[in-house]
Amino acid sequence: MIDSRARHELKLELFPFISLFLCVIGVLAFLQNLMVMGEIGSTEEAEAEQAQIFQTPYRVDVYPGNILLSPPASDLSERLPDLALDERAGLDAIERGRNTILTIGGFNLDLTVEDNQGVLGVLFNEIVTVNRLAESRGYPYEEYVLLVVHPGSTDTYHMLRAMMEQAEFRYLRVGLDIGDGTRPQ
Amino acid sequence: MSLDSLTDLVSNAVGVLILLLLVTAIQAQKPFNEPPLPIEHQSGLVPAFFYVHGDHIQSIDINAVFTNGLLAATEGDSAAEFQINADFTGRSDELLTLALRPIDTDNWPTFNELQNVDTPLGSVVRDIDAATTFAFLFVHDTGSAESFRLLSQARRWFLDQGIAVGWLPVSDNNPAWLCSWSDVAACQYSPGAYGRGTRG
Repeated sequence: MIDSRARHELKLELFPFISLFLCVIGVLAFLQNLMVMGEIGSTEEAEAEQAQIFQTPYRVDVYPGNILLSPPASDLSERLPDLALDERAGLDAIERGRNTILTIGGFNLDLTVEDNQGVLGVLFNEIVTVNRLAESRGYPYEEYVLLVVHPGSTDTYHMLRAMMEQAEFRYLRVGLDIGDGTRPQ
Repeated sequence: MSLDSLTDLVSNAVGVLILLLLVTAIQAQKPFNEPPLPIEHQSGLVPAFFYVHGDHIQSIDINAVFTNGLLAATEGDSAAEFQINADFTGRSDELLTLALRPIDTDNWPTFNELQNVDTPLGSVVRDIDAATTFAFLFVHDTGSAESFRLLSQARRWFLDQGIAVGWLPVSDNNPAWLCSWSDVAACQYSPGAYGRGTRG
C-alpha cells in the first residue's frame, strides 16, 4: 500500500516542463528582437542626426534673372568654438557680414551683371572657408547651398549652376528645392 | 510554491513581454516621417526618367531614346531632330548627348494616372525597384507654377513609396538631356532628397 502511494507521488507531469521550456524560448526570442530593433533604430537616428542637425543650408532663392541669398542664422562661434586667433577673426568677419545680410532680409543679386558674379563668388567662398575650417578641426558642421527654384527661373538656375562648376565651388554640396514664386516682403 | 503556480506566473510574464514586442514591432514599421533634406548626393541607384510638363507627366523610355537616336545618327544628318516616340523628339548634342523635347503634352497622363498601377504610366512606376532605381524628373518650366505644383506632388508621392527622387528644371533654352558619361557633371543624375533607405 505504502509502496503504491510513493510511486504515485513520484510521477512527473510533462506539461509544466514544456510550458517552462516555451517560456524560456519566448524570452530569448524577445530579447533577440529587442537587440536587432535597437540596432536598426540607432542607425536611423544617427543618419537623421547627421542629415538634419549638422548640415546647414545657405539658401539661395532663384528668380527670373536674379537671386536672393539668405545665409544661415549665425551660430558659427557655437558650432566651431575652438579656433586659432586668425581663424576666429576670419570667422567673425563672415558672421558680421551674414548678420548684415540677414538684417536687410537677404542679398539680392542680378546675375546678368558681370560684376555681381564676382560678388557671388566671394559669398560662396565664405561657405568653402567655413566648411574647410570645420573639417580641419573635426567639427561636425557643414554648410550646403540650397537652391530654391521658382517658376520662370530655370535659365537663371542653369546660369548659376554653370558658375558653380568652377573648381573652388565644385565640392560644395547642393540642394534643390521647389519655390512657389513668392518673394519675401 | 507549487510548480503549477510558478508555471502560471512565468506564462503571464511572457504573455506581457510578447504584447510589448508586438507594440514595439508595430512602431518600428511606421514610415520615417522626418522631412528629407533635398541635398543632391551620389548613390549607386539608376535613374528612371520622367518628364513633367504643366499638369502632365510622362515616363521616358530610355531604350527607345537611344535606339532611335542611334538609327537617326546612322541614317542621316546626326544634328537633325528625330522622332523618338509619340511623346518626344530628340536631337544629338555635343558629348554624345541627346536633347529631348516634349510633344503633344496635352495627351500625356496626369498625376492620378501615375498613382494608378492599372495605367501604362502607373505600371512603369510599379516596376521601379527602390533598392536599385530612383525617379528622376525633368520639370519643364513654362513660367507658371503648374509644373512645379505637379513636381511637388510627385516628389512627395515617390518618397512615400520609398523611392528616392531627383529633379532638374528644364526650359526651351535649356532642354532635358540624356547622356551616360559618368565623369561629366552634367551627366550625373543624382537623387536630390534623402528618402528612407536610399542614401548612397
